[in-house]
Amino acid sequence: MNHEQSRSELSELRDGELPESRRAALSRHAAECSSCRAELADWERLTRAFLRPVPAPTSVETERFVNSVMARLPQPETERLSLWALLTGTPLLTPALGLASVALVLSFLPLGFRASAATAVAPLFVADGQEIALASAPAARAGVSEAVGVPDESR
Amino acid sequence: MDSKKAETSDADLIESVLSGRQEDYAELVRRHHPRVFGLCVSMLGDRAQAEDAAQDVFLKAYRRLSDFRGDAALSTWLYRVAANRCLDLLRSAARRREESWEAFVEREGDGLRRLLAEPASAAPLVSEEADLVRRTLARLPPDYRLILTLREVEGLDYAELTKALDCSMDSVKAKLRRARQRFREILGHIESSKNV
Repeated sequence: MNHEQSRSELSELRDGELPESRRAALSRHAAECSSCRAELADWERLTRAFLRPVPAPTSVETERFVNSVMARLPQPETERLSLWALLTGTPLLTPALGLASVALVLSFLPLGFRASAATAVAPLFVADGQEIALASAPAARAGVSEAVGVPDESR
Repeated sequence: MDSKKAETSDADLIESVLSGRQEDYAELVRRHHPRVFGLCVSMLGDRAQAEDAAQDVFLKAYRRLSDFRGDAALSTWLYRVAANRCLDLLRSAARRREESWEAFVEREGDGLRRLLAEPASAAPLVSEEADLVRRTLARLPPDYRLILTLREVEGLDYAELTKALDCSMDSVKAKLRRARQRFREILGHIESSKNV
């Protein structure tokens, strides 16, 4: 193995990145070559002097750092409190609001229309994909009728 | 610290952050702060400047978290972000430096020789020594300083270096060889000043 070729691989030898076959040959050369030995020794000396490991930060320093970074992150888009979110997030609110709306509408209708309107709007009472019992359950319908002052025809 | 989060993998935390749980980013920062900060200190030589740089790294990483493809460890990807930030800072600092090696070594020769004579020690350098180390390394081209730091201080192997530096294996080998040759020239400058 000639010197120049060996020298070009000294860096990999130092780093333990040479394949086994090359490592053995280069190690033999370096043991006999004062120039290669000096180069390896100089790197070691310089590394010890100038490339020392940095003391790790303490856990307190890390926590302070974490807080600083988190405080500088862009704020996530605030979740808009939409009517839809309110309705879907509160299971009983939808039917309750439905009932209240119907009651409100019916209260403005002339008396003659109220009974038929109560029946006509019944299919609108759909919440979370389920038709609620108002249209089919006589008791529930009676409750609404009483609430809005309409005689229940089913009685 | 939430012990459950501490056991969660980086990949799961990233997924959680990307799905809107911003608070989970704190655990990623906590986990990788020591290495990112260590690299920044090694590169910049100043803890205050390193802290600012490390914050920039984690803020940039947060903004680009969706770009992380997971083909390397998160720590390696963060090293790449940190390396680029430090290189930017060092390159702008290098443009301001004008003092010759001769003038530098003439003024600092005694301190440099003391540093070289000291046996390796686990104790941190006193501030004057740390400052001298910083100013000496500042005379190396930033690219060389980076690859030497990643290899010798952070202990990255060649495969990790290719990912952290985004270059080929041959390029890593060639850069390390050239960096070490240039690094060795520091000794030449110091020795020549002793003989004058």
